[in-house]
Amino acid sequence: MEQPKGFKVPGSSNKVYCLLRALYGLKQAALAWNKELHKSLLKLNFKHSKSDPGVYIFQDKSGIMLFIVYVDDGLLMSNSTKLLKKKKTAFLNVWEARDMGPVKEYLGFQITHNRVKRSMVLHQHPYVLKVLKRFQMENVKHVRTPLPAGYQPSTAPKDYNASPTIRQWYQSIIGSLLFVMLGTCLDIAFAIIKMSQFMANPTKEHLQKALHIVKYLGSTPNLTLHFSGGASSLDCYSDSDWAGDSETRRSTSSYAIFLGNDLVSW
Amino acid sequence: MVKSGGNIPAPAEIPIVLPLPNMDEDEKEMEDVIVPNEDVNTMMMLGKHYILNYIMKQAAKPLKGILYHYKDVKNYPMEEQKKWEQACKEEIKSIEDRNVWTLVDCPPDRKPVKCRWVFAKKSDGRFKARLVVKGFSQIYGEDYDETFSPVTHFETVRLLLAYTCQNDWEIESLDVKTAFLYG
Repeated sequence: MEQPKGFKVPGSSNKVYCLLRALYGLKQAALAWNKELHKSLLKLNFKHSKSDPGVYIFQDKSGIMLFIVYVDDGLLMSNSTKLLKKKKTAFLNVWEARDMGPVKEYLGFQITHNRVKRSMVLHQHPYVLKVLKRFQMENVKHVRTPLPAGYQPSTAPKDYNASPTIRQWYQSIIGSLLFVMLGTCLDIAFAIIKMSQFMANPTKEHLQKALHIVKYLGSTPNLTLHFSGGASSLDCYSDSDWAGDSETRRSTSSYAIFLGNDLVSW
Repeated sequence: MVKSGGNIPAPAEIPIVLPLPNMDEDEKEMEDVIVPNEDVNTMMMLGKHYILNYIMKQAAKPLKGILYHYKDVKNYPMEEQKKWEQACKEEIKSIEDRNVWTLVDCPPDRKPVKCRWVFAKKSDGRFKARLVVKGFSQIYGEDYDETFSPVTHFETVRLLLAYTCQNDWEIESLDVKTAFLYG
């Protein structure tokens, strides 16, 4: 690697750095880190979940503990305070990490945990604000729906080829919205999925409609995802619009999975 | 090729109603163009493309008040200059503490990977600098092979949060500092 700007070693400015470990931006950085973390968690007697690569489980007489890993963010859950403290200390001995105490934020989700009521509120408003600011949409007129009612996006004309710039803009809007949609905002799920069909060849109209969704997000700052417990049964609801696309006669289907009263997947 | 995070030239096929300052011109001129948010009507009169162009140009610009190129540090007030440089020094120190690199002569047939500084002001007012490698110039098979790294599904996170919340478990979070330097 070349020497960083402003910090060249005097007298040997022609030399380069040989990387022994990964640095941010290096292609193999994420994998290298993940391997190291995996090893260390196994050493702490955690078991790797088979169904989700980011979940580690520890269980003994004192209780169960779950460790969710998302790159460098960790979420610890346990039914025993003692066990959690013990494992956390052990982890902090291995890694230099910031202990942020009871969860308030994870992966950009703002989390309000009410232990008395056993309820939890999730939202991503700070991220949404950032998106609004980025696209200069902070003070625009509010809209009530993610897309105009009855809007049927039309595909681009056959000889139309989106310029790389439009494509990049469009993809960056849809990309930022996709993160919110996958996180906590299922109300824009349909609109996003619809609009993301045009990622490869978006027209100006599509771009405006994508910004319409951004407007909608800005208009609904009070919507949050609420977990309020209830019976722990797993229910799934699904529906299809039976050839809702007037051009291709294709159907769009969707589902929502509830754990008790809590919506967990869509 | 568009520079990462840099200026994006105005698209050719969007008809520009007013003579907008060209993106290639001095960046300072760009900042002088103020379209007040409340004056949406004027903007509507000028045409939707005008608004669209304006919005997207703003979105593509680096953030104000935050250092973008290391060489621009001279344009900042002395006090901030020191803070940025201090942040850089901290980053270099944390890299060297972990023996990430050693200084060697470049092999004659190889090109070193370039790097750059990324700056940010954190929400608690800290100045933060991070040295990143321009990994896009690495060549597959020569510099790296396997890169896939698994992550958790959001569904899993929500499911476990819902479950543990219902059963009144203890939930805590932590984040590992300078994680990638460990790998």
